[in-house]
Amino acid sequence: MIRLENLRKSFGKRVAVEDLSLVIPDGALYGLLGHNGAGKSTTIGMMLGQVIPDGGRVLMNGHDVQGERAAALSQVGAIFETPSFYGYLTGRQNLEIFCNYSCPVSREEIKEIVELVHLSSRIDDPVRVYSHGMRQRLALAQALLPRPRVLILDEPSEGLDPEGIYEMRELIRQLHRDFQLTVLICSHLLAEVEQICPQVAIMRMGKLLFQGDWRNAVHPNRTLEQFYLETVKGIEV
Amino acid sequence: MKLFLRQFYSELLKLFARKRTYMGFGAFLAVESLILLLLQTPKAKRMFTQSMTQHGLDFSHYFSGLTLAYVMMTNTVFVLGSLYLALVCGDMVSKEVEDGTMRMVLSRPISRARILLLKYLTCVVYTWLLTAFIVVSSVLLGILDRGLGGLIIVAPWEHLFAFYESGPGLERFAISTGLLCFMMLTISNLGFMFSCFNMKPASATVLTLSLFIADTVVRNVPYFENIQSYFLSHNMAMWMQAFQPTIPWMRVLHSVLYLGAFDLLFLAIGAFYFARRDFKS
Repeated sequence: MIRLENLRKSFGKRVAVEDLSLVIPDGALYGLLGHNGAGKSTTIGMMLGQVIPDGGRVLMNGHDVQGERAAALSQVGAIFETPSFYGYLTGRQNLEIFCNYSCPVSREEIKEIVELVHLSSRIDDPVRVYSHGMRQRLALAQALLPRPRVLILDEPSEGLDPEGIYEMRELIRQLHRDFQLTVLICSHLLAEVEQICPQVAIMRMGKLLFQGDWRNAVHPNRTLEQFYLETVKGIEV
Repeated sequence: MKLFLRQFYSELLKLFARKRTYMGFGAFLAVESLILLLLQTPKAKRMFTQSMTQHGLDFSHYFSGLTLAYVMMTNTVFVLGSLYLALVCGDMVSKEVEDGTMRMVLSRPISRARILLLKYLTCVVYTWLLTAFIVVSSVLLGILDRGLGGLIIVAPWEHLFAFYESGPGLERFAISTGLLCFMMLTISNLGFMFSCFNMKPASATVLTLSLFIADTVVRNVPYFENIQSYFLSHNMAMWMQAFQPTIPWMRVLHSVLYLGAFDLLFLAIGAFYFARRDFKS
């Protein structure tokens, strides 16, 4: 379970996240939505201990990310909008390096995950020759090693072609189904989130506007995009 | 401990798999070879002959591999050494932040203190390797060219005049390597500190070099002679005292402690900043 309690963060005078409390239950497929500058990336940064909150706390499976970083993040995997790797090293070396920061994994485990993300034929090539889609799949592989319970995906479909978006969507569904992962997806692509996530949180200017099952909150036949716009617009009125 | 060693291996792999890491080694070899070539010119030989015959020394014995190695070292170690140490150590944290890989590392269950320790140890390994390479390559190139022979040291600015046979000469080189390895760490620490700040890798390198050059320039202004011992470059030059007939160990120890205190200070400032900064895309 991911629990955010009264989270606050400012950069200078600009308030990025304001008194954010959110609970993402175990095994949920959860979407985090908001326009640019809404505070989504800062929130994810605080969840992963990359951004230090001004107040409040993040609990991952009951452990405080700031106080018990190792325990809190030991079962969390994450990918970011623009996955970054050591381009001069091979995909396999990159995976081994990132795994060494958690706990070492066997060659068999790496092989299994690499097959899962369909990178087997290129895993020993230098990452600098990878396409964006391959980098995204390598990022997913590193997030899945060692086996996490929570997966945080920041714009996982960003920059992918339609086929790549479809593959990524199916992969996320498969991971959730086969490994019962808690998945948090932060995305601009509302149609994508609509197809994957029954539950969403909507942020605007650092504030949480909505959290929960969006289908229960709208009339039948309404899309997530319509619900999102109404929610965000509602606050403007 | 096993995990720590694996993580350290990963850091070393990241550093030594990069081509630019070897630029320093290549540059030293090229400049040392050039100096060696220029020392073969009649004018250079004439100067050596004059200097040696003034002191009643046999030119053919003392114009040797060890003497040439000393000349190559003194002319390259601070200028090129500071450049490449600043380049590599100034990159150590800031390049990963700039490339975005630091965010990937920080999403792992590893503390910031451990990340910094691993990176710092990598800096230390690079510094020691480069410094040892400078000494070993100078000596080897010198010996290949002129054979072992005796060693003569003439450095009036360090009040240094000494000559040795090959055995004691090599011993002095060994002592100076140890001192140099420690003293060059100060530049690495300075670069590493700036690397922890929120700045581009190039800025960290330029700032490190600027401070070191400013320290050297000001130190050489005659008016500041009485405060020389406070300058970093003065204390770093203490490695040359290893070639004194009687090594002034107390002076050397003073410099080691002085530089050690600065090393700790630079490291502490870098660590303090790194522990408190936010990492965002």
